[in-house]
Amino acid sequence: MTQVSEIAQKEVMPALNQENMSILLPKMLLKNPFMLKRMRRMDPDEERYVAPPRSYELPEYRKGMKYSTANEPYLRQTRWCNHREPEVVALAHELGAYELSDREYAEAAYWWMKTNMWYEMSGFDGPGGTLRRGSGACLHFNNTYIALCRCAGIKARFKGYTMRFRPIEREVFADVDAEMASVWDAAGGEIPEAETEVCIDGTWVTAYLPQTALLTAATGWPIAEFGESSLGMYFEALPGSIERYESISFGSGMAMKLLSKIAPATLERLNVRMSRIQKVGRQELDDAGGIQEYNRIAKRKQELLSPDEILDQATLKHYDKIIIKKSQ
Amino acid sequence: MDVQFAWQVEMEPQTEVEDRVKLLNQRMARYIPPRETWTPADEALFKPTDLFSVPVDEAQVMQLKAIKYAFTRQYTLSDFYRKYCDKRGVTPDDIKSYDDLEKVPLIPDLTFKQHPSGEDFAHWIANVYTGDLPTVVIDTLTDPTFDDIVNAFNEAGLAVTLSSGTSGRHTVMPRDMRTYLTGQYASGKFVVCMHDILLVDHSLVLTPNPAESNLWVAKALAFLPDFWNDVIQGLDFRISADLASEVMTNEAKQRSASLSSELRGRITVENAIKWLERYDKATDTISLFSFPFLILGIMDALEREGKRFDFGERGTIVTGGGWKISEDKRISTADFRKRVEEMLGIPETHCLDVYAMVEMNGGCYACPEGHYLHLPYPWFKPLVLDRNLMPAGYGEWGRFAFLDPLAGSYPGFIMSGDEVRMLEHCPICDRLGPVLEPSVQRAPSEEMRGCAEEVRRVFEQDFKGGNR
Repeated sequence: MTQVSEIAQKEVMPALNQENMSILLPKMLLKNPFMLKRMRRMDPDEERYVAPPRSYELPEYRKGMKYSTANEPYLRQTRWCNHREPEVVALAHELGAYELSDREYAEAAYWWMKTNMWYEMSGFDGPGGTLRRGSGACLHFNNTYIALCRCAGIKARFKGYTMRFRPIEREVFADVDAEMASVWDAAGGEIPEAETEVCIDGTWVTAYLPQTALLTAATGWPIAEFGESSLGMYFEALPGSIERYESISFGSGMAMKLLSKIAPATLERLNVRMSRIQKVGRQELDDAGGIQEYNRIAKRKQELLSPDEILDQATLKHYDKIIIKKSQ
Repeated sequence: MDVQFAWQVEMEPQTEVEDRVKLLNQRMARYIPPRETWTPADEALFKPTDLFSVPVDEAQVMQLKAIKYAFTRQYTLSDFYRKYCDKRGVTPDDIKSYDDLEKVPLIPDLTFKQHPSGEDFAHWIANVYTGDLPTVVIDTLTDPTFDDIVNAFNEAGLAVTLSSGTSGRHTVMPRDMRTYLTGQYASGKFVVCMHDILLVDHSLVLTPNPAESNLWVAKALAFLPDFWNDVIQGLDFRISADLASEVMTNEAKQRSASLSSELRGRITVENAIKWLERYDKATDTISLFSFPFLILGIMDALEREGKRFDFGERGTIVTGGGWKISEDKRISTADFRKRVEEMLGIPETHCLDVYAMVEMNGGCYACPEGHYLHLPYPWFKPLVLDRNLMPAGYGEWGRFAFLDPLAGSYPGFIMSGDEVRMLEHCPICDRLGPVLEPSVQRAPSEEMRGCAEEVRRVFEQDFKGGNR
């Protein structure tokens, strides 16, 4: 349960371990130059990543399309989040900006992002670039969704927190190669995660974009619906780590750009893996007969399968019959 | 419920199975608890002579009695399980009929992987354990390791065992000595009722040594020296929890195999071939108990050396632990049996497979006629769950779950990560009770595991590519 005292308001995303990692990585590379070779070059027998074609046609931008020009916090243009880019404006209009209610529009944009984006690690760019490519990672998706909302005059912000990888996430993300794993481990296994919040009728509503529907479906977890938070559903925030901010920090954006330059092979390995996972997710959704039915089943499973629900480690009883001696 | 069924009447052995069970009871006498202490689950295991002749409707009466008793015990003595049941609104009073057994709350197998580290791990084991905990002294120079803690519990008289998945995170199951011994007897009796292998003259067991490892695959087979006459333990090296964990994650893959690991693999295969050669010209009967990948490694080596054997019906192969033979390859059970016949001359009817898991006491054995996996139905209730985690009908694919009342020291009501198809009876042989199709798979999104996979990775560098 999130405590009010844990929540801080900031204007810029705190550069958490991603910056630590961006500092750690060059340090580790200096100590072990061979590591750089592995992170830059794919072995000849390694599977190569082939990006799938974009799953949608970008709508045409026409001059005079309305967009928000407000200059107030959470509505204004921020670093790497220009909601006036033509791709953003055109898509916002196709999704019903200025026609639907704020809630209807924010929800439509949410599901469009959730179901049309392909998870792929790449260098960081703004929402226009993400929409042209049709792919990105957590930072891209949050940022693009925020741009779509701000374009329609709906206040939107990031809600960041730090979490600790569980074995399954560590296996998917960090164990992609030994080099990546060593950097993650050196960073202490803690990573920043973020979701977004949009202000509808004066209330901030959560929207969790970092996982595409395909990605979540592959894990068997429920796909977060509009208004649902990743906290408690997928992850637990480390105490005191939840913060709201208006913009992505320079350090975080640059860390992603830097990673794609320094470690293209590592990212390609990760993309090969994520591609496989998303194909599994597609199969899961097809087998279930769509997101709605998939979610109904997954929510029931989550209710039944949550190990913490069954054996809460926080309430473990301590036994006097267990004697721990530390001999000299 | 004191119904006396016909098969419960003790009599002089009349059939081959009865002869075998009588001999088994002599050999494994120390695994059988005193009769006056038998629980309903014990009665279902120890009383019938031939487990496959118990009529299904009578077995259901025994299952209900055994599982209700076990559920009541766990509900009463296990704090965490009682809380879980209360949350689901199920108490022992709700279990009145056989159909009510489906209400028993199932624990996902992942629960037994979610343990903390360090000293808290010791208390976690105590929380999972049902029963009177002995005093456990963990005496180390530094902070206790995973193995230190497990060993301390085992020195205190428990049998804490583990199994890994690819995440390297161990599934940890705490057994009291009674549960541990009863489970081993159940394995022995089940196989004896199925196959005539008790009188085999010589056996080579290529699974981790129970004295050198806390892996379930090692400890679960500790009964084999009592079961068979002449048993040689072929994998006589220590597999620590750390090594098992390391090989199940990517850490080991990034390093080349150590010399000792390479030598170990080579020596294991060479010794196995020498052992086979020793009995090639004799008339003695033999059995080889191991993982499919390791037996394939032996057969690959034989092929490279241009050797073949023709043991015929003198030989028996027993396999278990899963059918993955390399990082991206599985072998079908049928192909494996064909290869065994080709290289060792052992007929398909003498290739037996066991399906078991660390959470289960005993296992499911394949029948020699059709190789379907028979379930220990007199006490064990198998379930197949559909996508909604509701019980599915026979013939449907789904997640395997079971109610195992032989588990006295933990709630043995488990939902596994395996996908199976269960049939009401074997389509090939006439043994009673339900069966699983041999093609057991991991459920989507579940990590790869299996005890063969743990050991395969220990040997990974030695068998890949047939380079020796």
